[in-house]
Amino acid sequence: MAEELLKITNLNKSFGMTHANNNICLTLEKGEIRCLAGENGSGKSTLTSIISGMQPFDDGSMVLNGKEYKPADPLEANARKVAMVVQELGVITALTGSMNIYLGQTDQFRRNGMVSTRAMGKAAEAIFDKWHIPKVPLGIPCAHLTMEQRKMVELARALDADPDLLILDEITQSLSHDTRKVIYELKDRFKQEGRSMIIISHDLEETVEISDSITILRDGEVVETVRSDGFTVDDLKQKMVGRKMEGDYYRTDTAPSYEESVLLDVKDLSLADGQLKNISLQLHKGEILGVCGLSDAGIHPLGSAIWGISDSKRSGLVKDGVTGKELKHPKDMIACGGSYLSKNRDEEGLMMEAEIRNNMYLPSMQELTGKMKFTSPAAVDRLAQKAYDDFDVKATSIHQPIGRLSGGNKQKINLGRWLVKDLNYIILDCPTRGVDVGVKAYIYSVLRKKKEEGVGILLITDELTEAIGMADRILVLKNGELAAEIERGEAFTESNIIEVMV
Amino acid sequence: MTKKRVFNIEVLIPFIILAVMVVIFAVSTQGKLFTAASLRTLVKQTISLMIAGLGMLFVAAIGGCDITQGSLAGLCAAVTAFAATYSIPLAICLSILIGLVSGTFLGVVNAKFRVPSFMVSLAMMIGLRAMVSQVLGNNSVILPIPYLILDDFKVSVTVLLILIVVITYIFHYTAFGAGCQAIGENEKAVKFAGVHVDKFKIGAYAMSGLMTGIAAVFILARVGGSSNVIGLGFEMRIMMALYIGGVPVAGGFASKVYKVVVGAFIIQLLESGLLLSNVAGAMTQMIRGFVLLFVVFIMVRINKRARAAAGA
Repeated sequence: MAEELLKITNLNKSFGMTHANNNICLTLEKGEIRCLAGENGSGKSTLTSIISGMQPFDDGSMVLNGKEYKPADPLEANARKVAMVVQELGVITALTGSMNIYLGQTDQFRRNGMVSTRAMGKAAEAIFDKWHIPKVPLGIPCAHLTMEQRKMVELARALDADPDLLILDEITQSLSHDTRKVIYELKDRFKQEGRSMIIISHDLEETVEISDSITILRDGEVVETVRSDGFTVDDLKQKMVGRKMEGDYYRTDTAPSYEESVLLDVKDLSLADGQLKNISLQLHKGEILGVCGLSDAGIHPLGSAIWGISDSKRSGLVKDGVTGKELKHPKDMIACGGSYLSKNRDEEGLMMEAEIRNNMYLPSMQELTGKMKFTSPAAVDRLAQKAYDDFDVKATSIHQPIGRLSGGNKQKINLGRWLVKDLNYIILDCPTRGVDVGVKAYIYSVLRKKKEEGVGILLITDELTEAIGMADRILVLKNGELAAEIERGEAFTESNIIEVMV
Repeated sequence: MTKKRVFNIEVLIPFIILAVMVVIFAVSTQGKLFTAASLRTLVKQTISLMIAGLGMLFVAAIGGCDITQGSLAGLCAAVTAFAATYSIPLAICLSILIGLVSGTFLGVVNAKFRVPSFMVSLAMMIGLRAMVSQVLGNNSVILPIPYLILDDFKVSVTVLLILIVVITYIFHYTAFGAGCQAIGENEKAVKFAGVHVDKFKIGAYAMSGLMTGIAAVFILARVGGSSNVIGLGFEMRIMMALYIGGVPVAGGFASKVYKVVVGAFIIQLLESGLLLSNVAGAMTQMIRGFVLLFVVFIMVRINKRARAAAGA
């Protein structure tokens, strides 16, 4: 029997009326990798933020290494060798990587009253070396780093505490396949050295795969803690939702099915900065076309470039298949019944402080404009209410600000406001990112329905299983070039795709 | 179908402040402020402030900044005063045109060249004020008598009411207005929804300039002639009117036409009320500053509580 690292007993935490954590009991051993699983709003993030000292708990007790543990702030948690990489905080983009790592602790690099950036940079590099994290440029402002590199900076910041317990909240969802490996290796090393990890991941395959044990939460309570050996993803889904999943998650057919007519025709699409090189693709009626690739393969820039928004100059031709019109600005594509959903929902999709209604209204501004440019508020309400009802959004009304609705509800709004329109095709960049299984299944069922109606879907995704489960064809990108095209069928396996990707 | 909205105290704040101020000044001026004659003056003094404020509302909604109104009104007034000696309609058109050009320029520099709006408008504020001196030289221009009809209570109030209706329509009942407010909420989201964000931004600044041009026509009529100091501090009064009225500094969907109207009244009431209460000039400024600070503080507090209650 291994030694206990952390023991949580009857922990409670409420926010007003909501009981976010209800009598949580949890024991973590040294060298154990524990995953927390549960739908959005089940209390995972609340629990981890309490452990890492970001907020106090109401009552209950925590014991760390045999001593009482009640961190007042993350710094105290760090002192007790507990560190966390949070889901959404991110880095301060105006500061350099090393400054971000040592923010608030720069005194140790003071020489004659001045902070030595060189000493700080060296110390930061040392963390990356020590833990074998892929190097990122630490001397430049983080604004120039990719999301993935920023995550690495955050990870380094956490590792600087030399943690016995490292908490990773949704870290892998923003990482590509190859960088995830770094996390897995880190995990192995932690185990060897008798350190522990608590990991939250929406990727259930990953959850089962990497953990020693899984604690399942539902509505703020611990449902069960299970060993991961012999536990399957399906078991996990059932436990999380508390009922049997209805209907099929992914498609069950094994052959591609779509019509001949082309909806969207892309020829020799390139970006001046080299993120995309001569990409040509055709999206057919009723087709789900998956796009996969490693982090720098260009799959995300591809979506926004086709839509008409890109950081650097776009060349090549994007044509609407039905009208033959060239599409340069998003407006052109909207006019042809196209749309696009960004991967970064909160930054590039929704207006977080605005009412649901106004968010719903945004993509339909032109359609709702009548004579003399008049837009009827009642018509806007009707449209918003329809999308709200159709997509089963859970909120008080269409007048509630989006704010802290769960990720799943946000995504329903984000997707619903486009799908409520009469679309021909839609470009989706990671549409199920950060949503729980229930909503995920719902989104897949919506996509399948849209496919049957003849809508073309360009599905850009970081999750191979999603592409394999949904797509008729998969395009694999590598270094901004089209590396392979695979049709649904025998060849549709993860290993086949990875082989081309890497 | 429409569910009852959650009652929002924030809507009432500007009205409460207005009411409190009415009570205070009714006492401190012993009712002098609320005679028919002073009320008429009060309304007349508010007109130009309100007109320019209605233009500025678009800029505030996108979360932008425009502090050119003072200098711009000065320039418009100077040119209009000269032109009025030839033709009054031409003079008025000229004022509006100058405003429109200035606002568009500000918008283009901000949207296309990505220079922060505060910087652009600060530079323009200085530049435009210099142009006023250039145009006027040492002359002070006296207006032709017929021009003064614009200072008539009925005429100016009618124009104001028409403008309020038109701006309400544009701001609350068109895609342009909604787009401006959406930009204030999250510019990137609007851009990714396929809206020409740049066009909307330029439009917002153009609107502000245009309305300042119209406001200048009435300022000129009130003053009766043009001088170097017309419009000094005007931009500050506009900003105060907006923020006291409850238009959020960051912009967005909480921006409303009625807030500008009420805010402008509050400012004017404060100024005239203090004057009639025989408060010394320096004190007046100080009290204005305090009131602004206090109101914005209350707004922030209430918004925070409302947001927490809404679970946002």
